[in-house]
Amino acid sequence: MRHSKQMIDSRTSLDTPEGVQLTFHLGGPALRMAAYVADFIIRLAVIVCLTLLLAVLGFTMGALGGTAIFGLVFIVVFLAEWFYGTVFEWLWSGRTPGKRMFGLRVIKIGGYPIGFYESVIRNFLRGADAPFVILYALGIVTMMCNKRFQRLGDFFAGTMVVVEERTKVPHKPRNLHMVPILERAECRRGYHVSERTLDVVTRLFERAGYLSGPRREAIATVLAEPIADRLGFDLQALPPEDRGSRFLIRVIKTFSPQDEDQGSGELTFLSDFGVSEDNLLAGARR
Amino acid sequence: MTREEFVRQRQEDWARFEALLSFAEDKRQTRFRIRGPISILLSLFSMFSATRSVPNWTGEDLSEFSSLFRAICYDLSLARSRDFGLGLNRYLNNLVARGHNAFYRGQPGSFGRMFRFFLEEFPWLLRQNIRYFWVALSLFVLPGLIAGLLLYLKPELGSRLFTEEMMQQFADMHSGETRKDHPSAYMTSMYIFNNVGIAFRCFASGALCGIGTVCTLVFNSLFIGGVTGYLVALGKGHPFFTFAISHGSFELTAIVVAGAAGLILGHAIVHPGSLTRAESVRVRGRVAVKLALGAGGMLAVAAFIEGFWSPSPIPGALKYFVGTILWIVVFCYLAFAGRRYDPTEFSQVEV
Repeated sequence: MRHSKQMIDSRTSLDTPEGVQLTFHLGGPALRMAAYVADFIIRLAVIVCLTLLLAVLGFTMGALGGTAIFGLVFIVVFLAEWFYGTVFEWLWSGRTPGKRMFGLRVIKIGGYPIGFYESVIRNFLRGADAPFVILYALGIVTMMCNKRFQRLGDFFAGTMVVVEERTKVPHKPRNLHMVPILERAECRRGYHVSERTLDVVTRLFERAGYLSGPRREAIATVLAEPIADRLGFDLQALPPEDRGSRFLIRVIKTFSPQDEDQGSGELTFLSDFGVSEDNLLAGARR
Repeated sequence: MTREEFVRQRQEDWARFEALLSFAEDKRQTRFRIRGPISILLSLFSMFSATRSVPNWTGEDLSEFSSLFRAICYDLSLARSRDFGLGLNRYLNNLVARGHNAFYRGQPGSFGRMFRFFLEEFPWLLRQNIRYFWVALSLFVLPGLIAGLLLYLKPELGSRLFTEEMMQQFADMHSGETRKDHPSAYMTSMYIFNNVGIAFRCFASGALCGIGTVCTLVFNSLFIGGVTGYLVALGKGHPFFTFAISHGSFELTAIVVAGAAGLILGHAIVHPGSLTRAESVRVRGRVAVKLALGAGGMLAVAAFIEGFWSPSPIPGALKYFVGTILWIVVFCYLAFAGRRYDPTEFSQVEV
């Protein structure tokens, strides 16, 4: 229970030689199972295709030669069983086609790319993770027992499966030209919001994809009330179901410096906003 | 510095770093460290075996990458400490993670290293871990010896070990004439699929505290010993031995080696010694997997002998002679090959 003080999280962090802390999102059992099924289907398809090919080839070569050729099916099945994952993870830096499909990658627990032997160990030990006919029963139990979601093979190889994210440089919220600014007349007490406050507000919307609509609104209400109070804005004028979000987005529009030149970029969070654009504007115009 | 100024100032560097990264991740150079006529043949395989080396970079690229990487590490720390927002944090974190991955690569593999592995490292490594081999050997020999003796003395006990069908097969099988039911190539493929699979499973199940390996070894021992004793009792000893002696050299030894590899895994998890359990399985696992791969190679050799040589209609005396030589070859290979192997020669920073 060495890590009992740490919060339960699907992330893991490590220190690089450059002295900076790196955070990785771990691939959970569901995602990995999905990738496994995808790989399984690919393997099956390859085996079936090659078997048919060899059968056709075998027919053209007479009984004895045909059987000899057809024997290659065993080699194909053998390679598909033991070396499919091994070779792909080795040569594709920790990814099989299935893992690639689901954005997963195998890396060493130190964050380094895996080598040949790590790849062999974690793939060969599938036999230990999935003993008898129970589908990966032991592997899933092992994954639940450690903080890096490692199955037995990962444990022996010193590897973990992470979710790979490719994100873009985040910009200040854009495409807010449809959102009306807060008029001076609406703010009876003051007309200034500090940069720090704006940053907090912006960050709420950056998280929009991770929060459910009602949850976001609950947080927005907490943020909106003191800001509205300071500005002297009458929150009650907005419809109650999402007045916090509506108010805050107008605050961003009004007070944060806009990158007008980058207005062509896609709308980052309005669609995550849970309210349609018309709906939002209707509320804001009121 | 505000967040906006920060992004505006650094954005160019980030874009340049991303460009270098995609170059590193997509264009991997293939490289073999072997010369001579074989290299032409090997270059044919190159498309299947791109080694994961640092791409074909110039020194300038490399130093640019290196300094950009360090600058971006600093950016990440800065973004974290100034609280520049989740999105920026995540973006920089991913950049650093990808850079880390590209920058700290292991040594590329090569065919040269593969040859060195089978010629030197594998037998050397086995001798380093010979105690596991002896344990596996006794697990593989003793039960079989007992089963064989019992069945030799009392063949009627055969029904305890084999099904009716199997016993019928034994009665028909090695009855003097060689098997011609399938061509050799077919049987070789089948043996590779079956035997190498058994060896790998025997190794893998060692991760279950060694229990799986012990069970596999003992079960196979009982079966093989039983078959031998039973066939000898039936008076079919000569055809059986002429068939089995040649490939048995590689096959039986390799099974024991795979068993030793499995026992290493089991020992590492049960008794980590002075290391933590996680470190122990990592360090010993690497040794074990090398032995298992070596065993797989030996079994592939055995499969060819078993497919092509063993069933061929060659006089029994010659088969005994060749078989004996093969046993000596296996013994000498494991006992003497790679004596001058230097484990530090290919050593790389273990990360």
